[in-house]
Amino acid sequence: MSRVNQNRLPQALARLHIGAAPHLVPAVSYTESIWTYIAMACLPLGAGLAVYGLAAARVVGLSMVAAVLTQRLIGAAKRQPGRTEITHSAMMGMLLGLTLPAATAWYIPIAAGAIAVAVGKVAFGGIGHYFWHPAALGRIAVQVLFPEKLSPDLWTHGTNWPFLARGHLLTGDLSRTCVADHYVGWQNTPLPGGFDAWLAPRPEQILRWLADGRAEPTGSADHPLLAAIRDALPPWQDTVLGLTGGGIGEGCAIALMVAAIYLMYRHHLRWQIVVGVLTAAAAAAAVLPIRLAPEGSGDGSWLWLPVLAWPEGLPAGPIYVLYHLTCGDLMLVACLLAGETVTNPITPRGQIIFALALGALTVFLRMYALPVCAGYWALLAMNTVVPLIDRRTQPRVLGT
Amino acid sequence: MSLFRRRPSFRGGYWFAQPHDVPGEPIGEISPTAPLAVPLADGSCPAASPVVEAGQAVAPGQLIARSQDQDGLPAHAPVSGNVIEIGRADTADACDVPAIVIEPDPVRRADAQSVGTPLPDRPGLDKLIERFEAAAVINTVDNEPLHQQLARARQRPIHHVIVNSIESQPPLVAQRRQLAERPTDVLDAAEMIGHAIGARRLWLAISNTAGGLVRSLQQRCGGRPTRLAALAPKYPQESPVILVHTLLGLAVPPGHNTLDAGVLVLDVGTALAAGRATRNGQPHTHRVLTVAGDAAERPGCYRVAVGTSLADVCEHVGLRGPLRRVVVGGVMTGLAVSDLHTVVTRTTSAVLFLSQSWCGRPIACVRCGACMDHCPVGLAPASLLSAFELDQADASELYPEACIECGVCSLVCPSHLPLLLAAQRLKARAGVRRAAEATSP
Repeated sequence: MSRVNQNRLPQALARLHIGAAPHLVPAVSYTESIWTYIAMACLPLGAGLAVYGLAAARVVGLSMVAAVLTQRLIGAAKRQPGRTEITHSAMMGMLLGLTLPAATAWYIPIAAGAIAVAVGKVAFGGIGHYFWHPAALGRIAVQVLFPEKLSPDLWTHGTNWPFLARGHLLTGDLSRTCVADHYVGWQNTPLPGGFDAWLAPRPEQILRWLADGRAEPTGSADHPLLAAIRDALPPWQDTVLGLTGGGIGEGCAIALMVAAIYLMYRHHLRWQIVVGVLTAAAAAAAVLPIRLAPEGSGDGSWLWLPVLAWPEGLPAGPIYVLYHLTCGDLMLVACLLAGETVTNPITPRGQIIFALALGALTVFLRMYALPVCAGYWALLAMNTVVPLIDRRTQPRVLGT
Repeated sequence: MSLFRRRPSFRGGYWFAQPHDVPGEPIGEISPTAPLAVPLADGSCPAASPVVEAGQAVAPGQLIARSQDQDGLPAHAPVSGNVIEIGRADTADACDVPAIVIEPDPVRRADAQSVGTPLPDRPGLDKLIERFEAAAVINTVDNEPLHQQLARARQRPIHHVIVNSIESQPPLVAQRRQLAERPTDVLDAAEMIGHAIGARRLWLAISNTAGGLVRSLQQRCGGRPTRLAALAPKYPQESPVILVHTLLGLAVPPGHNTLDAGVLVLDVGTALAAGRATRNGQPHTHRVLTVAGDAAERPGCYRVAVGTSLADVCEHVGLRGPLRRVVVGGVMTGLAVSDLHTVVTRTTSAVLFLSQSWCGRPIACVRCGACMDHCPVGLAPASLLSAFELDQADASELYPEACIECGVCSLVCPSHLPLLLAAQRLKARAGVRRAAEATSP
């Protein structure tokens, strides 16, 4: 050996650590990404608290507790306590809570949270290994298991989707519900005494009626689409602000957009996902036909390209598209769920394909197939084809 | 002027904070105090056989080991002193290589010996190859002997010579420092080599953030055949494959090097060593390296004799605070060494003395795609890792040989996965398989 005199060096040098390059502390960690998602999910949760009262906090809290406890129990059984796994399960429980209605039985969020973590996540191997979004899977599972608790009758007022009326935000009681017969918007409909909340058809339900030809126009002079928007749907401001019935986090499009923009700014969410889903949903809503009269009546013809309807100089078509974008679960899926990295394609090109298909499928299912959870079903369907998309969208290696 | 044309960059990569000009003090000298262990094998070369004996006095530049076969390089004494023994030494990338241990003698300063008389201004290719072999000049861009690379110009024409001074990974500055101190020598050497191999174009690649240096070089390059190429110092712009792609638009196929694409890439240190070998017959026995890290008291650029131990370097630059990790090379690609017996070789670009030792605790891949986004050659590092973990027999459809081992994938991975290690292993395995296929009929 070389006779290097190391005696002159301090003793501390005797133990040097070795490790693989790069010799830098990485600037990113998945835990940070999870916490950012949790923080941003608080925005739609806050909006949900205002519109659905403290019952919303109970639902989200129960689903989070169920998710975390399930994770801890399984972790204890497998003797693999994982901090990151627990944080991740808390995030999934929170996102799951945002998809549920506030007025529901206490065991629904618990069952959903346990199923999301046990079946949707841990059964596949935990973080990085599941291929359906756990929160969407939990939501769909309780929808299938307890349809009577979650699925209102498609053709009447829902019983599970009340929302607080003006003057009763945050503090009102969802059980003191008034069935709205002549509902003309959250701002302008006077609430009879003794009630705190409204029970009106959810806007996505009305869109479904429209596609089915059940939204009957009242005034004969009006364009049928304009009449449907004017008579059946709440004002578009209500759907943008989330002052309608629905899942806790689904309603407030503005809160969801702010959350998505922050996540994109911090590089936890790719713009391709959000832009792709919303663009495709808008395009699908603009093109897919609606039926303006009930089946059987001779006038039940399909109206293609509803976006082009501008009766009496009023942009009924574009507003109809705006309803599709802002109501129901589409915004929540686009802004908080579809960006989940494990269950979406790995390349930006693949993510564009995924997002476009997801947006179009959501609107298609909502209009012709499923009255509730169209976005979650579409998300699970697209999760399933992610490996196929990934295989087709590998980048080209330099020099090949 | 080529400078004002907008040069393309490359996709992916990583931006490190870059100083706006060539930082630091002039290049210092570390004169060895402890015995040197001059390794007889460097890079991929086979070991040379000693021609000196224990107890013999040697002069700087004196031949101490002769190469045994065509691929080898001779070794020379970097300083005057006495041979203590023919022993072994550790380098950063090879353990226990044969070495000649020399006790430096600061009092008796023997005259430097040269490996030949000065060559004319424009030597022929054969003369140049012979001289680079005698002076043991190594091209430190890809750690191959320079004479072998020039010899390939006989079979396959080399159209471009690029001298690279870009160092985009912190805290390397030695190349820029050397260019700032001796710009004319660098240009002379590049033009000499370019003339000998009949290259059509000569390039000097430089970081476009070093404004003052770019301006002074612009003036010097006026009227000379070398073109200045100011490129954005996004990491890993200095990698030869990326440099050739950015500058010339050539894509080097996986498993090949830039010479196969007809481009010789040198760095500033190699160009200067080549210039000294032809001008003075001075062998390649020293290396200018960056000494940095938060535990180094006097960081900077130092000219260090080959065979100097890191302990000697450490003693010279001083320490402040605890020393946890010592890295030979830059932060992105360097190797952490386990003790300070390790010696400096001609391929050592930097020595980092770090007071912190960070080690990631990996979790499963979350398929975020950051590694693919940042990969400058368009690989899927996460797929390479799973192919490596599953011990996949044939990962050739993932092109592991295209990996330039820049380490950006590991840096940006939120799961802290050892992506670089997996890619390196698969690349080495693919290289072995290719060699086996080439030898078997």
